[in-house]
Amino acid sequence: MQLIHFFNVVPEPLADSPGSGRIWRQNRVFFKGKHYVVTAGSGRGKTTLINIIGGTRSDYKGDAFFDETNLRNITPNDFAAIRATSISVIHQDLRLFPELTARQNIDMNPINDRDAAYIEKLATRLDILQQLNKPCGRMSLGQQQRVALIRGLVRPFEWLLLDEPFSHLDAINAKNAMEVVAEIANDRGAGIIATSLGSTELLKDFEILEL
Amino acid sequence: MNPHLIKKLLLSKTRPGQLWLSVIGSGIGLCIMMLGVQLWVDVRSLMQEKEMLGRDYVVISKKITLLHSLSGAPRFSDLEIQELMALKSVDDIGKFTPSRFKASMSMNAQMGSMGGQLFKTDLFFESVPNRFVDIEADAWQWQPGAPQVPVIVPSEFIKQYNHAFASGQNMPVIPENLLKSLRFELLLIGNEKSDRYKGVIAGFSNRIQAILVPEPFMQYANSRYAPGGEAAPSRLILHAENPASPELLNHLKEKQIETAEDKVKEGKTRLLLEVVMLLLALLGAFIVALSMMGFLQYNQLLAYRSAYEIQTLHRLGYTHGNMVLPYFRFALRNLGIALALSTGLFAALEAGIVGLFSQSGFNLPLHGWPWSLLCAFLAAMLMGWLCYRSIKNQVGRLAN
Repeated sequence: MQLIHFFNVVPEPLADSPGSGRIWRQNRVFFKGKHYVVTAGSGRGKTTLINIIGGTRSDYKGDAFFDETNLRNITPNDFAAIRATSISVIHQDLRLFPELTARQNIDMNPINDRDAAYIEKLATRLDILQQLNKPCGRMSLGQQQRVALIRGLVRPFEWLLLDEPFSHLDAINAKNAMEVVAEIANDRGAGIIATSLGSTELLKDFEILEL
Repeated sequence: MNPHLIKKLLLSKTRPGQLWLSVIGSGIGLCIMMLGVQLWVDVRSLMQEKEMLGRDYVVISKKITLLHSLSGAPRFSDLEIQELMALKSVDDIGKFTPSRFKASMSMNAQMGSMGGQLFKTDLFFESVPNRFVDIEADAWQWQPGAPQVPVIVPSEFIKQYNHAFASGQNMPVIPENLLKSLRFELLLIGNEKSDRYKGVIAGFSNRIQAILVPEPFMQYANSRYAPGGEAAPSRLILHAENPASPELLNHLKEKQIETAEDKVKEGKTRLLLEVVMLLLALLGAFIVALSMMGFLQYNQLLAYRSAYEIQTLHRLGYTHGNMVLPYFRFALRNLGIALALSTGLFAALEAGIVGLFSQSGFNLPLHGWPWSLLCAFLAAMLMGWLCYRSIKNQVGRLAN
């Protein structure tokens, strides 16, 4: 999947609002290997953008494509397979299972292509190695965010979608996490589409797109 | 992919109390259905047994009015017989052939010291085709030249003789089995001929209120003692699926044909029984449907309680099928338990019901349970299929 192409796409809830941004109602192409950050205030459809690409929302006008394939023509099962193998999403609400430990949460990926040693190395770099056997429900939000990051990074992906990924991290942890994310995405040759409420100082070399 | 964890996540909110309620509920539903089917099979076969409300024989004749006192008994034409045969509830029709000659019967006291005639009476015979006669075929044979003629006597006749006639006339009371061993003499007169035959009582009939002789003998005797008098029958015997069927009754009424009242009453009782059984079956079906709905609801609720897990797994890249499977397996397991429960309950209750019936004098034939078990199995399969569909829909709804 070399590119993601948005052609005249606008979410139905936003269909009536006048658009002036660089994605909605535009001809917008995301290229694999490149990094994008989408900035906008609340309610401008950042999470919707992530969910449209992730295949969990289809209430939009216009057409979106993976290479030549219209997303509307992808069956739910095929989309699940695409998510399992090509798209990794770090959700804003983290989407962890609170009763499972960090390790078990990471294990919940349909496919993991990194081994336990790699996971522990990553946990060490993100400073949550001590927490791996603790249920996520008993962790702080910042720790949970890092568990979600690890879960998103040890599975195969060509596209990494980050929905306000560092919202619960302090400046040092956020910087650290950004380095890890950029390094792994580059290793995999993956594209990154991140969203942000406005601050983009951490996201170096990212193309900034106003919604 | 970690199937164990997926199962743990999706089935984390089973709520044992509700689970057992739904399993026991569907178990009871299945059990009621099995009992219904078993009763249906048993009672139906009971009803089809001889002399028990089942298919029945009805003797019909046309109403005799003053007009007929000159012309003789009204007869059935071939066309009328065909009309009757065309009725859906009529399986078979037999014609009564009356004797057209004079006959008398006498009994002699050969064994006693007195000798001489005990009694003598004029009588008349009728015959019907053999298939309408309810005694064994061996005792109901007559070939030309045979000196002995079997006769069937209405049981009511013997009762009247024993209870009313014999005591008044200082005659001996004769039990039925003794009567069968007695021989008597038949004297047939007509066409300037007269012959004596030995008569033997071959049996007693509740079905036909007439003195019957075998049809071949009747044909022989009629042609010998009253040749050339073949006439249309004035009485018919019907073999009807239900003598009280409105179709038959209306037809008979319209054509002014009379029939024995008690048979019709019996048929009406049977109709009532069938209506009651149908109502019970509907009630049972309603309960079964309710229990099925309860079971389906439980499974939908179970999935609903794990909406977050379903949504999250879906986002991680699991297919709907991945998530439906644990729910479906769980539902199948519970169905299995419900089925086992219902079979056990059924076995216990069925024994009780058979006992209850035999206390009331009905020996339910033991058919085994193939139909009940088959129906329960099919119902469980249906439930499984409905469950699969409803879980699949529910997961699809919750996932996005």
